[in-house]
Amino acid sequence: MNFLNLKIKNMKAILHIGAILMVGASIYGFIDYKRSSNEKQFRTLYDNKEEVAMRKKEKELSSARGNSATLHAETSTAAAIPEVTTKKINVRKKKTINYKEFSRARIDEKISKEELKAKATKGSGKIETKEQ
Amino acid sequence: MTNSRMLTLQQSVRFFFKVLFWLPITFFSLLLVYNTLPYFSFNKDFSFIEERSFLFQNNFYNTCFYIHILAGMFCISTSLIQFSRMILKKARAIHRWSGRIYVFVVLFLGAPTGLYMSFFAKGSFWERALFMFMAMFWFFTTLKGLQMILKKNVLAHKLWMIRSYAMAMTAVTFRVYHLIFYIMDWDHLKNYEISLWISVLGNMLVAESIIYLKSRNYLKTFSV
Repeated sequence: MNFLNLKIKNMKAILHIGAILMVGASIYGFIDYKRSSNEKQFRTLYDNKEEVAMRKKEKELSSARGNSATLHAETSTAAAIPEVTTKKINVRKKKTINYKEFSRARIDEKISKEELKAKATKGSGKIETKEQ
Repeated sequence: MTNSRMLTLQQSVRFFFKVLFWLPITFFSLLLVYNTLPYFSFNKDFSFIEERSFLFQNNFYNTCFYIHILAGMFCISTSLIQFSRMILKKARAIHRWSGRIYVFVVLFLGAPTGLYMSFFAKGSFWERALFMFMAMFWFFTTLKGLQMILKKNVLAHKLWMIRSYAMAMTAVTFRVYHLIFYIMDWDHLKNYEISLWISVLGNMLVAESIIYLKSRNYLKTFSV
């Protein structure tokens, strides 16, 4: 096919190649999706990793307290929460926009990570817990 | 005398609105192209790739991603000059060549890879379905645009290409909405989903309204 001199008769060839590619992409995509949807990693792919880790930690802490103090079983979870929150590092998120954030990627996560690093290098002491 | 003054005023107003329309589009399109370039270092240290690290283990997805962003870069940069009346009049060869690149890239690279990747897109079933619709609609409108110009139907070619360009521009408008909603402190997933829907539906609406405005005079000729 001479792409430089496009004519109507070439249209059919273009249509056929395009259609084959589109049908192939949809079939292969569907098969690939079905195959990977069985895996746990794929199902939790877009979950907020930090939130999940925090929830896991909270659960572990509460269960550990529940085992050690049977009398205060009900209050153990309540007691665990303030401990977690004191350790929790809430970084003040500045809503400054950088041209690099003109992307489809998650914006807030990247900023908080950078600020976290910056704060950690500044001082090893407590980090203020304020959020805008 | 009054008529010529009015004409000049109308022309200057039209020029002002054209600049107002094309300036942000050009700026954000070039910014998108500029931000895409670092991906070709094939480094995995990008939050977009990090988030989808599981998918990037698949070589086919990996290849599709790089083809898709390369296609997107070509599409967005070539289509910027396609709507210039000056280029169309004075250098038609440029319009034809960039048009050929655009059509080839959309039909054979951008749309098929986009369709494959849509199965793994972020969001619920409906967001994935929207991505699929986008890929198919982009393919269809570009194909129709090519078909119309080969039949020498310039008006229909223009209209279909406006629709195709609107789909290509969802990549740009999505990022704009995404940033706006981020500043408004919206939750990430909510922000992502709403930005996606607004960018697709909004672009389609804008495209249809431009088509209506452009063909209003033509449509009037049919009225009795």
